[in-house]
Amino acid sequence: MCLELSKQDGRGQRAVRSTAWRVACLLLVACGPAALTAWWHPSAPGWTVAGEAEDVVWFDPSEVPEEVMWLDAREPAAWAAGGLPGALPLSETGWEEDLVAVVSGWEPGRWMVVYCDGAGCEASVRVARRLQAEFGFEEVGVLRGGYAAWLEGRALK
Amino acid sequence: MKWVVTSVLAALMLVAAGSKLPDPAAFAGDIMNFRLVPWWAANVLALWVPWVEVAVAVALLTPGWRKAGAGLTLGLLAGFTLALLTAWGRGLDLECGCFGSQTSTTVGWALVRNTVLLVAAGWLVVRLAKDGREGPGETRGLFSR
Repeated sequence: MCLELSKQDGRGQRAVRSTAWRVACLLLVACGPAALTAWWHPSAPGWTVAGEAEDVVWFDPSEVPEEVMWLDAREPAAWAAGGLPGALPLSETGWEEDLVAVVSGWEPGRWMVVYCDGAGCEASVRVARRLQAEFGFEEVGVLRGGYAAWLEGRALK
Repeated sequence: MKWVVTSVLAALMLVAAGSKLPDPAAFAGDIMNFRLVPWWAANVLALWVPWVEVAVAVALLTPGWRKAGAGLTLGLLAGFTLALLTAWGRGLDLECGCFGSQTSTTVGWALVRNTVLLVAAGWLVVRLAKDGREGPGETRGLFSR
């Protein structure tokens, strides 16, 4: 009986080991297409820290002046899921439609602060540059750390 | 019954992956809303998790790989549910992002749904383990009996 039980135990252990290997294999296999997605997908998240750009003004979440005009440079789906209170959407894909509300809502002397997902995205920098280049807005800044940093700041408060 | 649960879980995994794959950046944003991981980890997860879901769905439908598929389904669901529970515990008001950013699901509803799915996946894991009929060398098809 003991021999039978030990045989069953051995079979059970082999089965568990085999399943564990297959699980590891599945997790590993998923890395391939994930890497391709990162490389080729037009909506892949950014990887470089955008804080290096020197041609835009950077604001830490705690240093943003009051009464700024928040501009959300994230894609419409992310904006629809939630953004900073009072912010206006201004994504690169919805540029034409979003711009009307931004331009009409702007007042001289009021800073525009653009943000995107987090420290890894660059959409906010591109949008800020575009506002400067195409419309000559000078008081345009970018939120360092993006929406994620703002959320963290709010959580700390 | 086993085949029904397997098929439903595989279909759900495919739908979940299909809803996230078109916009990984938005899914990364959804993950960041949970405030559990730094931005770079959210980016990695946003790229990787949908493909894990695809792999799991394929495994669930492939003879010899069902145990691994069921185990991984259970693990994924447990991970998602844990994240939702922590969000709920911290009073975060967010969309779960479980089926991409386009769908709107509150944390409460997602928790109820995930509990049902967890029970189903747990049952499947136990059933497949008890069965012992589906070993590594098994070649029977999903609907062969």
